[in-house]
Amino acid sequence: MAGKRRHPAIGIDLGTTYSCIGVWQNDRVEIIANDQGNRTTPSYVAFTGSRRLIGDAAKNQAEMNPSNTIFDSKRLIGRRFSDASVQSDIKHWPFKVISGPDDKPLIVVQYRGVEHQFAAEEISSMVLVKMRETAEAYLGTTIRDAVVTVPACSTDLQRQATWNAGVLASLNVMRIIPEPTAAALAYGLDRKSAQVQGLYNVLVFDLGGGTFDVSVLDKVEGVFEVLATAGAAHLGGEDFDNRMVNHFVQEFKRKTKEDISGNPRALRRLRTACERAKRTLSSTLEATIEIDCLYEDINFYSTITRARFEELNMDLFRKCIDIVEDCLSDAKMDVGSVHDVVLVGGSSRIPKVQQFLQELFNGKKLFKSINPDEAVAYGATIQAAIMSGEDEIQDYLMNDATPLSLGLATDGGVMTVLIPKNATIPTRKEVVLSTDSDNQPCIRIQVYEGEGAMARDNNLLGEFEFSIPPAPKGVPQITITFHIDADCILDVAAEDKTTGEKMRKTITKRFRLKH
Amino acid sequence: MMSGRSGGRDAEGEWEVRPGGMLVQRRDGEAAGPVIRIRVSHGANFREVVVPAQATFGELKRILVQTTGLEPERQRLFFRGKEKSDREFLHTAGVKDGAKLLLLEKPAPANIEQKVEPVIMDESMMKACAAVARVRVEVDKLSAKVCDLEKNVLGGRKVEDKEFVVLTELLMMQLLKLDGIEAEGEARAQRKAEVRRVQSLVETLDKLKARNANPFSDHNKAVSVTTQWETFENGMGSLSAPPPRVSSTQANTDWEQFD
Repeated sequence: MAGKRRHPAIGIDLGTTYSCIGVWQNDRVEIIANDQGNRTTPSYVAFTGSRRLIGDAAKNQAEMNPSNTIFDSKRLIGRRFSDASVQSDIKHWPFKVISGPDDKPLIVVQYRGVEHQFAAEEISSMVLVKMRETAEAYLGTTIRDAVVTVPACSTDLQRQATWNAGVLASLNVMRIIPEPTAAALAYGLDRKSAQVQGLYNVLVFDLGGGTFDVSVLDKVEGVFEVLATAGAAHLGGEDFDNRMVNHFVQEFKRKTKEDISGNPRALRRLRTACERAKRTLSSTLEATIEIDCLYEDINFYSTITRARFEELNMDLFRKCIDIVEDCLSDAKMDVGSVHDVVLVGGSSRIPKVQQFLQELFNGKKLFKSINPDEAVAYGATIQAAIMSGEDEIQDYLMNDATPLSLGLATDGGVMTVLIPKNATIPTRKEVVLSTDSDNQPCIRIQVYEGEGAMARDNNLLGEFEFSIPPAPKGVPQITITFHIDADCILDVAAEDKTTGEKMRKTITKRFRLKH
Repeated sequence: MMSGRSGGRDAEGEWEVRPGGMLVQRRDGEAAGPVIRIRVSHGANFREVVVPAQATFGELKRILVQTTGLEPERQRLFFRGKEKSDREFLHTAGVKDGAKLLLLEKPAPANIEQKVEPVIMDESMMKACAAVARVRVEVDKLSAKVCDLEKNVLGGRKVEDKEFVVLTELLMMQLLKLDGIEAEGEARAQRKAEVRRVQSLVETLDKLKARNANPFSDHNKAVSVTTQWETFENGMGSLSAPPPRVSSTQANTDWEQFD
């Protein structure tokens, strides 16, 4: 087997609104933060009188320089100016788009006082340069090899244009993979499929800030293929925000008789507060909005419950489920044929969305443990590592897809959890056990992973027996310690504090726990 | 305005509220208009008041101050399940002799601090105050820039439109930061004071921008927008006149109609 390459390979999620980058390091995927400390970077490029800005800096000045701040270039890449979708999008963009040679859309900006025209892939390449430089700064070495993702429904022209963007960014694009395939890779579903007899089908549900995509994949001869894809080009978190903004505008009007719908500054403050409240409602049942002097000297203090938020958006949530059903229909599949469901995109965190999806699939567990904003980059990075011949990737892929609770089988075969799923690492937990019969010669330590209440419903990872001196039942005090170190290796130790006798077992299976 | 006040006084002078809430004309010689007896439910109490049949709900609220101690601004009167505005007349709403109304209180305007464990409150309060202080430092810097810009404009020097846009945007960003600070009590008061300050600076910039404008069409458009904003603000200003004045005006109008 070839040794490691001199330069690490990276995975890049080139998103419509945000992009994300990962690298295989320390035997796992590392999502890299940019110079602002953010793990996702806005897919924005801005041109000013003196310089070009990319990422956070570009987005932060967008309101000040709207006609020269470019976003959504992904909606233009590989498309024709005369496409219906392009014509529709142009109406909403503050920057200018014209038709170039061969009906190619060109973006017009003023840069250093001179008019420039850029193709969409040139703008995307600038974002890719930013991502590459971010990775190089983090790793302290030159980056060349990358796997880049594209939407599942991309045409060959769009893939070619994305590849061109990579070349312009001085990247060797080893492979372009569909976003849902990357998501499936992120959860190690390619390995899991090997355990399934016959066909193995995955549904990837990707609900982001501005777009919604559903894909059905199947595993054929070791490779994921997209069987069907469906979605809405303009459906996502921003729409949910809009519903909340409208709700509060009406509430403000009822309370104060004042209409702020024509006041852009008030609306902007309200929208920002609504975005924040929406995120809060994914983890709490109620959120508060407090805006001093929203209109003249009138304060706006209000609350919204999760139930109300759901009610405001119920038709949009149902629309997502309808699209899922359409996609299954296109794939000539019923819900029972889908083995696994993967969630991607920030808005997939919304509890009601998850509930609807789980109900549709008869209570099936959803794969959602990886940060949904990062799952695509995560999977692209795994693909990059595989193609780079990383030694550890083979061990990595043998691990279970998602972190599970770790515990012991105790009295009556009950699963006693010591380390709950999604625990951060390193971590250490202890529990004290005793005997259930007189003069018991030993205690059997059986380590399980899984969420079942009974140990037999979970995966046995390892076991050993710990000898103890004869004693009446309930008298021995055996301390069991679970320790997962920074390298994700589980060490299980048993100690009888009375006698000082110790025994330990290292379980070498690596746990890819969230951190 | 003077006339309005005078009218108000006259109106008040013509009527006397006797103990028990009965409203009668002082001049015994003249026949009073018809009066009706109304029962008002307030909390656990029912109060009976006598009011002119053609009074407004606003007038009724002022009568109810005597028996409930609630300021008119804090009273919400409901008849047949609907809240009535101060300008609406009893008789047009269908209120007749013996009618029953519901009186609810609006929350007191003063913030009642939520009681939380002192340690938690102290900690979160200090955190909020510190967050507001950090924003204040940024606003201080931006305020200095606004002053510089103001000197230039008032001095007749031409300033690029972009500078107003940039400064306004930077101030808006600080405003959004303030909106994101969760605060109670004193911290909330500080946050609000800072919000007012930022908004004042933004309004100053809007005026300076209009003043700085030149004849080009884009700037004319900007002028137009700014002018509209100012007009709107002025209009709102008059609508925000102090309650006594509004009350006085209303009383005057109602009095005339009553006659």
